[in-house]
Amino acid sequence: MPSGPPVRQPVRVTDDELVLAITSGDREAFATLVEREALMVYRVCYRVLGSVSDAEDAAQETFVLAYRALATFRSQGSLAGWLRRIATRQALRQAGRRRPTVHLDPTSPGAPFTAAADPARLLMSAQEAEDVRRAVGGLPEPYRETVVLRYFGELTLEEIAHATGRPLGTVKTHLRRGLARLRDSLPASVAT
Amino acid sequence: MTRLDRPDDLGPGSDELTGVARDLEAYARGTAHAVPPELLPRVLIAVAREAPPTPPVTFARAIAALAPRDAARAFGAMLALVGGQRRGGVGLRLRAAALVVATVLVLGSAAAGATVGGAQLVHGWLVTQQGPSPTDLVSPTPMPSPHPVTPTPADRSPHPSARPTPSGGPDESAEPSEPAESAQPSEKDGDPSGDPSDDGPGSSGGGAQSPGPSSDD
Repeated sequence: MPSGPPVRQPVRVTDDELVLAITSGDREAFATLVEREALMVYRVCYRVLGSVSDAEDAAQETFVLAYRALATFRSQGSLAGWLRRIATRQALRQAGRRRPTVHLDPTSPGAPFTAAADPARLLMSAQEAEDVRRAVGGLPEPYRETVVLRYFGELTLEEIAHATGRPLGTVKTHLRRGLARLRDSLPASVAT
Repeated sequence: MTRLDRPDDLGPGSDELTGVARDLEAYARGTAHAVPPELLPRVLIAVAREAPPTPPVTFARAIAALAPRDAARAFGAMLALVGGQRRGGVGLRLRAAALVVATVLVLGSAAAGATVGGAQLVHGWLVTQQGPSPTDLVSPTPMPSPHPVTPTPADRSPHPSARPTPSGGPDESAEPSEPAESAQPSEKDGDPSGDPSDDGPGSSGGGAQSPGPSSDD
């Protein structure tokens, strides 16, 4: 019979169990939550900000804000949706504070459209990505939040409705209007 | 198939928006990176400096931040903790119970103070609206009654002195000199059933009855 270090099986815990454990002072439970949700929180932040370091800062701030407010989490929605909404707001707030930049480093994991090896193509791709970010960032609320949660946060319309507390029909309307405004504001090179 | 691949049902007329949606999905796929390995330790270090997000701590933070909705939610969480619907240690429950009691006391006293203050305001307003007219009407009526009633024989001595007839002066000059003071006690001892008209000029001579008592004062 083979003997060795015990293999740690991932334990499936519900959102409510996690929240209860964390609000009871269990920091291990919070580490579990960060491991579980870090990927999407980071991606939301990166897609809004377009910079690895900025996205890391925003993701960290998202988790700190979530940690402080966890006792106010309502279990009607999912913890993932709640966190991605905080990430969306935090990233948009951070994007509003800084000057726009275009990142060109092709070796960076954050470089947009890295498949393009040609520097000219890379520049164009980076510019297109920046155009998308700027167009989305320029949307008025609540269209901006809905578009970011749907396409950058990869939430379904139902999850957005739960996370924001808005009716599903309202979320659909916001998304449709947001897309219509983006159609007018995105450059033709992007909106193909 | 990811969630991005599921087409949204945005209702009629949304076909023309599909192109924009595809662009956003393409952007999202091009930026689907892995999490930097240093993010998790960074987050845990940052959170280690924070107080555990227990309901009492969150409630206090919400109050300090003037966030009533968060405070209300944290208060609900404290109630659940005190009521046993929410898990927590004894110390945590005691802290939550103490905060719940303190909050109820503060809110209760504030509500009581507001109620009393509001009632006083309303009362004051009503008095200013209705007060003057009844007093004006009522005060003159009782005044005349004591003077006219006094005319008993024993009391007549002070009255003549107050009358204008002996002094020969006008009514007004007689009034300040106060036989009225000595007259008043005797009036009480005298016949209270007297008719004001019996008093003759002693009371009626003063014109309005009110000057008599007012000069006494």
